[in-house]
Amino acid sequence: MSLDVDIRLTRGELVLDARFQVAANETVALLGPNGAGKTSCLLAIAGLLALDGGRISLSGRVLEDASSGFFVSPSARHAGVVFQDHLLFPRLTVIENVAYGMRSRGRPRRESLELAASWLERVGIKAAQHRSLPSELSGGQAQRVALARALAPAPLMALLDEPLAAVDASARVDLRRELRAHLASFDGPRVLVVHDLADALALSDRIVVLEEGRVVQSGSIDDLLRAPRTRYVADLVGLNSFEAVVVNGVLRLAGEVLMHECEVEGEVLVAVHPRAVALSEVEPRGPDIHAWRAPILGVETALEGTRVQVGGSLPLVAELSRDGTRGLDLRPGQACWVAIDKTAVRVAPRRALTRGTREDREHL
Amino acid sequence: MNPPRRQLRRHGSLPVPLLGLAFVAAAFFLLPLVGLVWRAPWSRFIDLVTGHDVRSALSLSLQCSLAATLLSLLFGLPLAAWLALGQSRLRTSLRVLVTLPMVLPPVVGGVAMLLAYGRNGIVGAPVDHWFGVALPFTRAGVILAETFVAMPFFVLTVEGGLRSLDARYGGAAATLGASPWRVFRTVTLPMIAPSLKAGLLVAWARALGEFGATITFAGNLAGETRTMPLAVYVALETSPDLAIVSSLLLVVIAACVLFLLRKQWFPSS
Repeated sequence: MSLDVDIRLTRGELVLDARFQVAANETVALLGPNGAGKTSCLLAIAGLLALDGGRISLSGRVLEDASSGFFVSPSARHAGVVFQDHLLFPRLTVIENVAYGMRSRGRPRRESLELAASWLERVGIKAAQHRSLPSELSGGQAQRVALARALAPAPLMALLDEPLAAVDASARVDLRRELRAHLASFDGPRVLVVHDLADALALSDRIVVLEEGRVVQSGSIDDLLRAPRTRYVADLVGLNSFEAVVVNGVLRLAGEVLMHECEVEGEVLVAVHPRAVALSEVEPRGPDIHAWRAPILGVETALEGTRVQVGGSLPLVAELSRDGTRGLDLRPGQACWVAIDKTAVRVAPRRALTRGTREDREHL
Repeated sequence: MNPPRRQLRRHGSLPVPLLGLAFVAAAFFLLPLVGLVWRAPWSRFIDLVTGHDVRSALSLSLQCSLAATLLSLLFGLPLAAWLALGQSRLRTSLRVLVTLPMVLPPVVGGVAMLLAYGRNGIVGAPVDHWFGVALPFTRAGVILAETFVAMPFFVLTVEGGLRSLDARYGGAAATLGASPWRVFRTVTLPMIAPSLKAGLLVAWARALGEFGATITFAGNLAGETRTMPLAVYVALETSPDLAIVSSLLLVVIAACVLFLLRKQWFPSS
């Protein structure tokens, strides 16, 4: 039971060309910047957006094949979809909303309403609210009802579009935990669109990063941390990153050789954890140290320590412990030595994007 | 700090000359109503209203206008749905065609209907020949004339409602297994209920007041095709009191329609 997705479609500015797989009992989080095509992916899997090319199949059963024009209608795909801003039917009561899928599939009215009531109880909606209209619900309650409506007809796959977006911060933690439990008890493949790394970490088994309509990287959070392949991914997991080229094993950054025996060739992304960056007044020395002088642009005090933004040819962020800032003049405009530990540098083949919106990601 | 209130008020008020003209316009609408009430023969009001002429014209008017409203619903709803949601390139031309009766003088509509559905009309002649059914100068003719004039109001109102509908709800219903017919019935219709109601009321009011197309296509036969507006017109020459009373009756009905439409048309009050 797995979901195989190969989506090619054009929708306005967006050119979507994404391939990924979701195993049964696996939750995949689609993560990416706005306009990357996450929602379009979900809608295409649900059958609400037609493919220009590619193929979607669920447990070997083809749902859509652009090459032959074969298309299973949305109503026959058995996808449990939680839409962005929920789309609960405004003129139906809460319980009728949840019963809707079962009624559509021909279950008797009483049985559907009983099942809907038990689902509402399961997601924590009190009986007093079963006859309410969706407009009378809070964001968190509407989210719960939307989840119940999607899962009540026992779908074969679950598709959730930004399920926590319309929920305020106070309800978010609880709702995330509940959602995690509901997803875990659902058997089929689960696809989740999120734009927040915390949600992706809490809810998914694997992260698929979409950028400009393409899958740029997929894997666990450890995979992303170990070797981010685009600047967006590096930003997302909080790493400094630089685009560079490796020629014959030699990696140069800003004209200077950083490594001699690099394992990857060609276009790479160099990532450095902010904690692997040290600042000092005197030039640091050592076999694994790469150091240069750069101006300080800004200083920000955080809970764990101090984050210092440095400029120059390799702009990056250094995260210093409280001890690490001792004896340093950290005023913006001052110059200091910046050192990175070469053993902590991660180099991965870079995923080139067709159209660059690099400015968006320039700030760290 | 509160904003200076007087200044706000001055911004909201109109210059005096405009205010004067607006007042004249309002009086222009009010005075005819005052005239009706002023000159009404109140002592004989009940007698006249319950008299044979008024009762027969009123019941004919109600029957025919309700039938025209139902016809508008039956055929106008699918037409509105097609105009709002269809993909065809013909839609713009069709919308022009549907809007035409709204701007056309109803008499012209009546003449055109005679040429199409009349005894010698392009459709009417064969129908008369094969089925022996003639539409002009019959009750069915009244209904047809009223539908011709009233349906565009219904279609355009409902089309507006359908257009402003978020199409994603239909998609949501489809993923829950609903057929297009079920989506239309259980999601689309309830969501456009306000514009459906407004469309029905406007179409009914328009059908009730129809004069030009009716008198041209269906004639003015007492008890058969003489609806309220026609009766008022006839009474004006023979019995002005009857005309005034009948007019007041129509004013009351119109006021009721406006009361029912208050949420759609006067949302602030």
